[in-house]
Amino acid sequence: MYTESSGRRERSLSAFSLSIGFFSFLLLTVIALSCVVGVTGLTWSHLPSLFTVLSDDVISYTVWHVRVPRVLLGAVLGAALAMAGCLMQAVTRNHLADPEVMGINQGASMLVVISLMLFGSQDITWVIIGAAFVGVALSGSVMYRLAFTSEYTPTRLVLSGLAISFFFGSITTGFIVLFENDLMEILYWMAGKLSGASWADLRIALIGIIPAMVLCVLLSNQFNILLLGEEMARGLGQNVERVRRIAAFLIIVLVGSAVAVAGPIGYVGLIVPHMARSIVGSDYRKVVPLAALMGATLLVLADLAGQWVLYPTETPVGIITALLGTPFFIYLLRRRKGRIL
Amino acid sequence: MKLFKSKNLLFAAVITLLGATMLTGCTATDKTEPQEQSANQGPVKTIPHIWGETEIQGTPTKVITLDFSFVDELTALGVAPVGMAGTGALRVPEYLADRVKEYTYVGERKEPNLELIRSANPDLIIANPDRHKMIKNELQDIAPTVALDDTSYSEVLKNTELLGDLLGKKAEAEQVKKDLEAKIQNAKQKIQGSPKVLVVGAFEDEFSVWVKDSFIGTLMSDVGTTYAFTGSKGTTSEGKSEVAKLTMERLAEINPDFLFVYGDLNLWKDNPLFKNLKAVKEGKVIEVDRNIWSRGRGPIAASLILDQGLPILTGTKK
Repeated sequence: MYTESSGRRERSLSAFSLSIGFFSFLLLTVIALSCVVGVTGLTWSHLPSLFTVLSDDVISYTVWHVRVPRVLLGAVLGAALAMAGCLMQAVTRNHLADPEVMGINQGASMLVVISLMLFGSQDITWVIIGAAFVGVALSGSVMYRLAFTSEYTPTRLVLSGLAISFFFGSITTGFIVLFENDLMEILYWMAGKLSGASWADLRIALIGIIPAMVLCVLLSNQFNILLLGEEMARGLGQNVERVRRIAAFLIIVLVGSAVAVAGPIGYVGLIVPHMARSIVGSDYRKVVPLAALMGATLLVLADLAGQWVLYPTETPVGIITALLGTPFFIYLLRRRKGRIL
Repeated sequence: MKLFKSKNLLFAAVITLLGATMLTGCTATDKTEPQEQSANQGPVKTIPHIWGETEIQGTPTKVITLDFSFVDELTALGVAPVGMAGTGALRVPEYLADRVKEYTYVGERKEPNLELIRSANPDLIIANPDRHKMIKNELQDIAPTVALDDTSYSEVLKNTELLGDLLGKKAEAEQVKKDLEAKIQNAKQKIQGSPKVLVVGAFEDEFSVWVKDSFIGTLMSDVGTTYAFTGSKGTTSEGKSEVAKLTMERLAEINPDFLFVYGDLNLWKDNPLFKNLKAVKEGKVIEVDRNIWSRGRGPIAASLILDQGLPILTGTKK
């Protein structure tokens, strides 16, 4: 008995270190490629000069101020969204939980659109960042109330999440229909985009995301306990409410920071935790870091695709992730057919 | 728990209501015969358009327009519409505001208020074939409706001719066409060496760019420039999409000779990539009025665009 379980542990440990190694390598390669491929006029001979003095020339500006912040932001947000997905799925004990599915992204969009109507004449950047963050907090708390103040089964939780996202979505659409001229530009933001990312965006995102990520990794064993079920967790001495609240707070910080700088990007939080679990099993101490790495890779790849699919037109990265995520969501639903979610 | 029950009930009620609305929308009368307009006497004309053919008796005098380009066309013909649809705060295109004063506002152009249209008692409705596809039957029920495509500049000119014919303004329509064609010929002769031009909107993180098939794109091609954005965006539910998104990097790749910009140019003034554009270095970036260059559509808008653009394109004014 003992040897068998320790053997399994070893195997999954090596699967873990292998996959961490593989995805780190993949992520670095994708990042490096995204930074330089297709930069007009960039040849091999330029490469060394990119790393020397910060020159004024257009090529190094393109690389350091257009490509690098965009790619890094993509990686950071991908990791943050994947972690948020892990957290949501752990806290709700629901494999279909994701900021997009649960209406959190739509809440953010709604508040941004309303705020633009009210304060559109002011500095739009800060209006969007503030409103997006507040919107995430608002719809996050609504979902939290729904999830834990009533005895919802996971299926009903997903349904109420969808209902709420339709509700927010219809208000948003209503405003856009009525004020088409003034809100046209926001449609593009609402699809979730990384174009035009700057170092400032990256800095804003990192303020919240780094501490939240660290906390999330530190607390990952608590999520393992939480996943055993509320009663079991209580029996093991866990303060279930506190862990849930901390998790909800972390989700709001992670998703809020992401939506604030890039608009709502859906489904990364849905897809990635599943992929990570299928590689390393359900131990959150392994799932969380691996999911972060995979999420980063996925979003950078998706953004790279978004830049070239309709070249020279930009496709918002959120559309690419939705194209991947929706079939995956349906696949998950079908696979679990007959079982209570 | 009880609270949730009643919330669920409310939600169910809302859904049912929505469903019911959609159903009634679908089953609405299929009558395509326009109502008799007794006021008009005269010969019956059959007008072919995108939605088929519409029979119109006599000369309509009370016209309702459901999109901006039609207001421009009617104004050019000297006909004042009795009602029109707009969007948001914009009711009449700004450049037409002093020529179109009295009218009934019939609401958002995406979903015009059918009751208001009916109460204005029109004898002709001009609709956009994409935007008003869903209310086609309802509109035809109120008054004879023609649906006209207004994407390219030549379509707009064709519409003007058709409307002139329909509204007894044949001579005016010919004059409008002649004037504009003369202007275009004149421009064509003066513009040398088909320079690359682009019309973009400058916004926070990227640019909006009008595609080659759009009104402004076709107009620019017709005066002998090379419109430099050849990508497209396909169609949306709203109709043909004529604006695409462009990052600074892609704009630098296209690197046009002339750049007409609306929106906020200040956002980009210090950007090294922007400063490196050929058009910027040569002082050929021109700030233009969004209401005319981006939202304007019709013979009057075309004429205004040429008046502003030609001196710049021929280098007689910087």
